Formats: sequence, C-alpha cells, structure tokens
Amino acid sequence: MSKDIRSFFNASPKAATSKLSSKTNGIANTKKKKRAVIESDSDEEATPTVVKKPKQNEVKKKTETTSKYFPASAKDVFGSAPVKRVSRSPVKKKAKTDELKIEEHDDSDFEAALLQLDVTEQWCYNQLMKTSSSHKNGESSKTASPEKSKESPSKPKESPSKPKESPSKSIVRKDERKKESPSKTDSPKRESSRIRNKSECSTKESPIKKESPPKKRGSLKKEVISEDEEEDDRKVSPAKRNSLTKKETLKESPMKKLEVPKVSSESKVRSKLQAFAKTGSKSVSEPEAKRVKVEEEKQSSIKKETLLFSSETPSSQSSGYESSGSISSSTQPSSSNPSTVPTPVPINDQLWVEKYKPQSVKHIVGQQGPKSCVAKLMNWLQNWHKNQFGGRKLVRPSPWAKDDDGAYFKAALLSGRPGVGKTTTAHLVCKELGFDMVEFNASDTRSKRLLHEEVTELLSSKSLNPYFSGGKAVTSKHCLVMDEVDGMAGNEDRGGMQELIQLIKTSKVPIICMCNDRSHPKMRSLLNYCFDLSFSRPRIEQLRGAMMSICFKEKLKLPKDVLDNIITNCEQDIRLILNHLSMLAANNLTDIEAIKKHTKLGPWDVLRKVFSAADHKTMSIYDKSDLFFHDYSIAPLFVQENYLSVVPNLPDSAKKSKRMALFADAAESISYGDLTDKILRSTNSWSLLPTQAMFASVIPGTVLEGYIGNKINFPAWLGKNSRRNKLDRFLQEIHQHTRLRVSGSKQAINLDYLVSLRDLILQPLIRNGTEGVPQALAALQNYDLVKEDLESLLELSQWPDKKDPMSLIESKTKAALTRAYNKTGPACPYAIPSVKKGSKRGPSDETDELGIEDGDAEGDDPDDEEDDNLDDGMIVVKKTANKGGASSSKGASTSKGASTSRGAPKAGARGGGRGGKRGKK
Amino acid sequence: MTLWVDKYRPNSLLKLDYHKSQATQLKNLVQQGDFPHLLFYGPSGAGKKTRIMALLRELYGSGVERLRMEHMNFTTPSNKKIEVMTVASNYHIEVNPSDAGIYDRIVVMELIKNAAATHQLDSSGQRDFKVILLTEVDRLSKDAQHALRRTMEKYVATCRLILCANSTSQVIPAIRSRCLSIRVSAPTKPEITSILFNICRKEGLQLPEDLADRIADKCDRNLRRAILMCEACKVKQYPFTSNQPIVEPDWLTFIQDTARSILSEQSPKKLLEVRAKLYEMLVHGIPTDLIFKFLLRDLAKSCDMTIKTEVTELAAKYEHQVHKGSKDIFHLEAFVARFMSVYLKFMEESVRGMI
Repeated sequence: MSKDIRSFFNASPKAATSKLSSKTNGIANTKKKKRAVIESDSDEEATPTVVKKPKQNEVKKKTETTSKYFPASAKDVFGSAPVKRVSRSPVKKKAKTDELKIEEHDDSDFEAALLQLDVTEQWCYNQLMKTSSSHKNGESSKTASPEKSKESPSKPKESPSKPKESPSKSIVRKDERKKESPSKTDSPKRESSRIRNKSECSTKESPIKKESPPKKRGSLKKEVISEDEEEDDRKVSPAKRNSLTKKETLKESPMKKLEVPKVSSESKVRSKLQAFAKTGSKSVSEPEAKRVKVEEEKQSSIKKETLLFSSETPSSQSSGYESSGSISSSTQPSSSNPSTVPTPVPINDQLWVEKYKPQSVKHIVGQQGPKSCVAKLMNWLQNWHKNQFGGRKLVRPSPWAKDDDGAYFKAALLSGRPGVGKTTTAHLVCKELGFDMVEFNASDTRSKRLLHEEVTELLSSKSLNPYFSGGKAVTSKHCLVMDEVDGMAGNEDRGGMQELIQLIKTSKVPIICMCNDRSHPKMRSLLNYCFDLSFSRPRIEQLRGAMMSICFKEKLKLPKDVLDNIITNCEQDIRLILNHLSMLAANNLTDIEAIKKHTKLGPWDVLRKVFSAADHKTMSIYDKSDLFFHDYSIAPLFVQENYLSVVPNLPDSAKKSKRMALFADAAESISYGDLTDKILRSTNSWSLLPTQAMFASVIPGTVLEGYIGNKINFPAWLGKNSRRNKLDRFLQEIHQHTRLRVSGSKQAINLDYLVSLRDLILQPLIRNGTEGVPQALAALQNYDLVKEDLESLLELSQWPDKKDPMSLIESKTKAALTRAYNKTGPACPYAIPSVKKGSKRGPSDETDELGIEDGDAEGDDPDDEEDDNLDDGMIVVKKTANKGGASSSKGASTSKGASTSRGAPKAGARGGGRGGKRGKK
Repeated sequence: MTLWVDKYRPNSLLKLDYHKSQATQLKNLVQQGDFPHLLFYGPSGAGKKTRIMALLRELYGSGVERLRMEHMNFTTPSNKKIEVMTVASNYHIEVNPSDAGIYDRIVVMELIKNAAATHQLDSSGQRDFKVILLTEVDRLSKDAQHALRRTMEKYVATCRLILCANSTSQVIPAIRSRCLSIRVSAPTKPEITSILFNICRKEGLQLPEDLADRIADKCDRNLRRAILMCEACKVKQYPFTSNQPIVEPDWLTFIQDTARSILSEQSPKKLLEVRAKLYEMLVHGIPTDLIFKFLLRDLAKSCDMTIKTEVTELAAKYEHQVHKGSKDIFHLEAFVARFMSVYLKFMEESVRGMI
C-alpha cells in the first residue's frame, strides 16, 4: 500500500494538470443539474451524464485549488465518484433557500428508520462475524463492505470517527448499491457525505499530523473515510498537509449546507430503509458479496494497510475520535440526528462469561464426579419419566438420606450462591439429555394466574396426549426451568409460589427450580416438593485451573498468587472472576485490590478486624472507619460489649495500670461515641457518622490493638434494654394502681415502697401460712393492686443473690391465696384494659392455678350472679351474651362491699374486662 | 393493712408536723380566695404531695378526697394513641404527663385545654376555678414545658396549675416566673425522729431513741424512707432493740457491693463483672445519678486524698455525659474503667514509694 500511495503521489501533479482545461465547463453543468435534482427530488430525472461530469469537474477543481486529490482512482473503484470541491458552491446556494426545512421534517422519521436499522445492523453483524472465519484478512473487505452492511460495532474499534457517521452514510450507500446504477439523485447526497468524511479525515489527521508518516496516515484515513475516499487519501501528499488543515477550517460553513441535499433524498431513502430493515440480512449480504468482488483487486494492497492499522496506538484513535466528535457538534446544529452520536466502543466482541461458558456438562467447574450436583441432576432428569410413570410406588425419602436419587420428587431445586453455575448446569443438562426447556426467570411475571395459564398449557401435555400420540407418555421431552424462584415476590408474582407448588404436584414434566438461598423462609414450602441439590462453591484449586486456561487462551499473564487473590476476593464467584479477568485484560490493570468484591461483613467479623493488630498493619484509618459502616447501628454496641475481652499488644512486663489505662481510654472513647450517637439521632445530623465511627470503633480498636481473647458476644445491651423497659412498664402500672394511696412518684415507689409493699403482702403468708391469706388480700385491695401487680412487684424487688420471698411461702398457701383472690375478685378504682398482654409474666405456679380456679368459679355460680347483677343498679356493664357477662357481674358484686367511695362503675368495668377474658378461654 | 407511711399521712394543713409556718402561709393564701399558679419543689420524701393535698382540701373541703381514676386517651399528630391515667376529683385533676414519654407535650396541651375550657358547673362550689396538678414537672420535655407556659396564661381564669417537681433546675425559667414557687425542704433529723416517735406511739410501740436516730441518719432525710424503714424494722424484730440492724434498700446494698468489687481488683475481667452489676441496677430502674452518687461515696472512702478530687471530677464528668448520651451503661462503665486506671496507678506509685 505504501508503495501504491507513493506512486500515486508521483503521478498526481501530471493528472491534475491534464484535466485542468475542462474544469470551468464542468462547474456550470453540475450547477444546473444539481439544482434540477434537488427540486424534483426523484430518481427518474437523474441522468447518467450528470454523474460523470461532476466527477471530472471535481477532480479538476481539486487539483487546482488544493491539488490534493488524484483523479483516476476514484472513478475506477466506485463508478460514480461525487463532486467534491466544485459541488460545494451550488449546493450552498440551494441550502440557503429552502432545504433546511426539509431536513427538519424528515428528521424524526429518519431517526426511527435509523434506529430500526441499528437493530438489524447489529444482527447482521453477528451473522457476519460467525460466517467470516478469517478475522484479520476480512478486515479489508470489512473496511470496504461495512459501510454497506453497517458494521458499526466492529468498526468503532478500528475507526473511531466512523460510528458517528456510519448510520447515515451507510444508509445512503446501501441505497446506492441496491440500485447499482449510479443515479443522479444520489450524487448530491454522496457528495455531502463524502465531504463530511473528508473533513473528518482531515480533522482527524490534524492532531497526529506531525508524527505520523504518510503511509500510516493513509491507512488511518482509509478506515475513517470508507472506501470512496481511499483514492483521495492516497493522493494526499505530505507537502500538502497545510492545505488540508486549511480545508478543515473552511469546511465548517459549507458543511451545514452540504448536508441538506443529502437529507432531501432521505425521504426516499427512508422507505427503502424500512424495507431493508425487514429483509434484514438478505439485503445486506447481497451488496456485500458484490462489494467484495469489486474490491478484490484492491485487497492485496489494502491488507498491508490494515495490518499497519492494527498496530495503531490507542492514543491516535482516541484523538481522532475526539476531533470528529467536536466537528459533529459544530457542523451539525441539529443534534437530533442520531447518526452523529458515537456508539459505545465494546472492548471485546464477546463477554468472557459468554465466550467461556461451558459447552458441555463435563466442563462445568467443580461439578465433576458422580456425587456432584450435576451428576445427580442428570441422573434425576434422565430417569424422571421412568420414575414418575413407571408405576412404581415412590416413597418419600427421609430428609437425611445420603444417597437419594430424588426419584420421589417431580421437581429439583438447585440452590447456591450466585456465580456457581446453577443456570448453566440446568441448561447444559437439559441440552445433553435432549429436553426442551421452557424457562421462566425473574424477568417474567410469575403470578398465580400467569403461571397457571401459560405453564400448564405448555407443559401438561398429558391430557391431550391420547388424541395425538396414541398413548405415548410424552411426545417431546419438556422441562420447565424456573430460575430465580426466590425472586418471586411482590404484587407481580403474587401467589406464584403456591401455584408453582401446585404445578409441581400435577406436573407431567420435570421442573427445575433455582434459587440462591434455600434456607429463606419463602423457600420452605417449596423445599418439601423438591429434590434438593445444593451447589457449593468450587474450591480455589478447581477454579484456578479453569481460570489459568482461560488466561492462557486470552494471552493474559497473571501470576498465580494474583489469580488466587482474585478468586478469593470474588468469593469463588465464577462469573465475577471472569468479568474481572476480562477487565484486567482490557485495561492492563495490575491493581488487584481494586477488584475486591465488596461484601458486607457480619458484625462478628467486623469486630474481629476492629481489634486485630494483624489486620491493622495493612489498614489505613479509612479502612478502619469503613469497618464501622458495615453496620453502623450495631457496631458501637458490639465494640462496647467485647472490648473488655481484647488482649492488647503489650509486653508482659507492662504495668497493670498501663493496661488498665488503655481500657479506660477505650471506654472513654466509646462513651464519646454514644454522645455523638445521641446528637446524631436526635438532630438527624447524619453527617456526624464518621465522627461516631472514630469514637465508637476506630479509637477503641487502635488503642486496644491486639486480638480478642474470648468468643465474641452479641451485645447484651439490647436484651438488657428491653428488660429495663419491661420492668419500667411494670413499675408504671404499680404506680398507677397505687396512686390513690401512695403519694410518691414512680421513682419513689421503686426506691422505697417496693420492698415494704411486698413484705406487707407476703409477710402474713410467710408467718401464718393459710391463715394469713385474708390479711394479704386486704393489703392487696388496700393498695388497689391486682394479682399481676404482685408478680411484677416480686420481679421488680428481686435482686441477684437475694432470696425470693415467694420461695418461703408454701405452695398450699399460694393456692389458697389464688383461690381467695379469685373469689373476691379484684376491686379496683380503675378500668383494666380487657386485652392483657398474653404471657407477660414469667412461669409461676400461680398463673396455672389461676387458670384452674377460673374454671371452678365459672362452674359454680353463673345463676346466682345473674341475680346480683339485677340487684346492683349502679353497675353499668355491657351485658354479654356469653359467660363473660355472668362472671363480670360477679366481680362487680363483690367489689361493692370493698369500696364504696370509689366508683362502683369502674369496678364493674373491671369485672367486665375479666369476664371478657374469661369468656375467651 | 396499710403501710404506716400512708396511714399516718396528715390530711390537713394544720396537722402537718414540720414547716408549720409555711403551712400557715399556705392556709392564708387559700383563704384569700385566689392564688397564683404554684410550683412545689423539694427533694423526694419531703412532703410536697402531702402538702398539696392538704392545700386542696383546705380549698375545696373533703370533696377532693373522693377520687376517681380515669384513663385519658390522646392522639398524637402521627396518629399514635397514648393513654394516660389521671386521678381526679370534682375539683381537681392530677396527671403525670411524663407517663406519656416523648408525647408529653400533647398530653399537657390537650388535657389542660379540656379541663380548663369549662367552668365549674357547681355554682355553689367554693371556687370558680379548678386545679390541675401536674407531677414530675422536672421530667417534662422542653417542648411540653414551652407548650405549658402559654396555656398557663391563657386559661388562668378557669384553672390554676399546681406543679410538683423535685428540683427547679429542670424547669424552664419561663414557667418558674409564672408560678409562686414553694420550696418544701427535707425534714431535719430531729423532725424525723419526732415523727417516728409519734407514729410509734399511735401504733402502741416502744421506739428506742437510738434506733430512731439511726433511722434518721440512714434515711437520707427522706421522711418516707424513714417511716418505711421503721416499719420494716418492726416487721423484722419487735420489740425494738437500740442496736438492731436497719434494713437498707436492696438497691443501696447492691451499689455498695459493686463499689466493693471495684476496689477489690482492677482489671478488665473485673470490669466485666462490674458491668453485669451495673446492668442489673439499670434494669431495675435505679437512676444513674443515684448510682454515681453512692458509688462515688463508697469509692472515695478508700481513696487517698490526692486522688479523691480526681475521682470526684471523673464522676461528675461521666454523670454529665449520661445525661447527654443515650446509653447509660457506656458512661457508667467508662467511669469505672477510668477509676480503676487511676486507682491502680496510684497504688503502684505508692507501692514504689514505699520501697
């Protein structure tokens, strides 16, 4: 190629001068014809004569003004070479007047067409990639053909400026190629596109102008410009670079106008495009083939160029890219044209995850061997029909059975962490056993209705079977794959799980379910119906082998320890490892730390790290404070709970006081952490969190650097706090109940009254046994306490290593007290909420006896109580139809004597409350 | 069966045993017919509530003793239902707004509006205002106190507020200035002993003077505690002997026990044990200021003069932090840890000095 270019360079001046004479005529001609074309806007009016003339003119003009372009080759290669410099002036005039409008209408439609095209393009490209075996050699044909078939994805890699242009340009080209005849209408458009290309190439050149030798430049340009411009490039002589840059500056104003004629033909193009989009690959491949033929002669020379290009540094690519981008924005004020937006450049043609997907069951990493999940699944699936329809009575295996083949189950549940290969396994197993897969995953709505409608129709082929296949069990082997079943949630998938279970029960086909966490509550019901296959993470050694081979194939050199590091950091997630490897390959990254899988540590692990001197060596203060943020609500509690069991790194000779001082410092810091926490939460100043991290975690961790001696405890604070609240509630109840008698506040009751009150009630029982019961009851009633209060009283006044006074009382006496209490019933001046908290008391003998006594009391005297109820006019009780009403009146009637001055209605209400409770029993 | 402390509570101003001049002043105040809002304050067990009830009786007659208890329901703006129990007679209503926790503001506003919006129905009633008795005002949130000060002025025609607090330090100045503050100081030891003698005489018991003095010493000038202690002594052993042990509250002995264990050994391991004890106290709802107070008292006893000030300062610092923070145990523990460190250092230094 380089030789070719030189030869062209040498030849160019001669050719230019020879054609100079016919220049002026040509200009006039083209002007006229162009105008006609634009106005009529139809193919029919195009005449072949016009095509030729502009070409000639163009060449002449070029040689005159810039003397850059070599005339001969363009025609040879492309047949209808458009006018370059010359055509600019006529078009400019046109555009000024009316063409801008046209552009505006057509834009939206055109865009839509383009979008459609993009889709087909992508598809076509994929097809193409598959068919073209020689990637590198095909480059030349690609550089030529892609414009036709729009290989935007492949192009961008080579020619950064192309993606911007490719859609519009390629549309035009394709259009031309389909027609095959160089029509007049095309010419303006081609001109414009070509001029744009030219401008691009020139701009692209500018940044690298100085350092790039001519041949390289030629090659670079060639890709950018596409085949039409090839000859132009060759003509560019190093000497004329200055003029080129001039052109670049000039070009901007004409560019706007030049684009307009192209657009005028767009309306026509559009319809063709749509047709093209429909026909897809056919239309592409056709011109493709022709193209290749045309280009074949050129290829030998082009090949060299492409090789050169492939060694091009990314810097030059990117610079070209940028410059083209800037031009597109400056030259095209209407940015709505999608053709100007550069498509993202894929790093590689295929994701490694896809590329190195296991192709057969044998290639699944870590799943070899007869005991592996894959083998079990295969076995299960293979024998499914035999098992299910074999007429054999299937027994549910015990959940602990070791070597169960899952014959009983109609479904299998594959579970395991992400990236262990569950989905791949299911797919491959189905493929190898020749099952047709019907897959539903989280992206499908799997509500009850939908599952029912779609899946049952799809899969329960049994019912219609006799009609079609004459009694054969199943015509074709189906398999339902329900991926990500744990993602069945929310309104979308409501009832999906139940339906799935129903489906499994009645299924005539095997069902494979997949989930991440089989111990999740949602999975529990499903698990009963599934053959449970739990995938474990492959070991590092297993993964290392597989990854090494991939690295080798990709020519990625990684030291073993680095690879191991990646694997462990990714937590053996194959998918993640592959992604990281491909990222490494693409970026030449060596920073392995950056790819660490950010997993959330549990508070236990966090705590160990907080105090671990070994870990601190590699941690910055930020890393330390990050530990706090794994769970900032519980971290301070964990630190506080466990900092005392840390063994700090101190020499044995260190004084005890020094050691203690460290702990005191840590405790002080923790205390400050709590202050921060209070401010943070009460004023919503969450920006203080880092401060809290310092106080609550980093400082104690640093001060007490060492290791944790004991096992790490869960924060006791939570439990203590809830117990504190519970006791406080008891206290409040007692306070409220005794309010009429006792003047003190809640705290006074707690500090002073409690024991006296307790003793007042219990002493008679302790001293006199059963004889003391009336006294105890009187005390209870005097202070308006109910039975529950006595128990809370006991709990509140109980301190560790103090004897429980209740233990001094004989159980006989307790029973007597309970009986007596129930007989008289509680008489309180306050209403007790009828809904009592279920088991708020700890287990004690009394509660049991209370229950028994309740039964007795009810059995004894419902009738008497009815009478009492009638007598007692003061009592306003909601009469309930059930027994509750009866017993309520009982409570009320007894309360009459006990308290006269305290409102009897309340007592009634109390009775009603109890009655209601009893009625429920 | 009633405790002495409740049985022998004086129910009229004239029957009060101490601060008699104050009692007569109150009587005069009431007899004038009208009085401003009152703020009773003084330590626990000094007789604030007794005085208030006597005042109310003076005001309305024995009708105030016919009490009823009611649950009042309030709805917060966030639609949370709160239930507060009130004690009311026909003439007054008593409520402890701090029962409602952080929603005390709603309680204060709603309750006072309800109660104050209506005039006394009974035209022959002695007074044309009702009394709202708010207890534990010092535990009201600042919001509630601010809500209170406006309502205090607004409804002054129909109701008088009597506020009851342990200390005015937690009451905002705005409220203090709107009330006539009445300080009910704790009874002196002779007053306590004389009251104990009176009670024992009424019970028909012989109380040795020594025992009465010792009770008065132990009770921390808290009359309620003194009477309860006295009764507890009677339960434990009667006839009294002058040297019989006085039953101290369990929580107090527990704190002393904790202090002993702190002094016995200073190590992280011991601190863990102490933490368990501190938790126990907190769970039982022993106020942290009391814990600090008694811990400090016991710890300082065995400290040398040189570190006494330091320890006291520490206690003050961490007690302050308890109030500013949210998790009491953190600060209590930090105090103990720091004390251990200081104490150990001092011990080591003094041992070295001796060698």
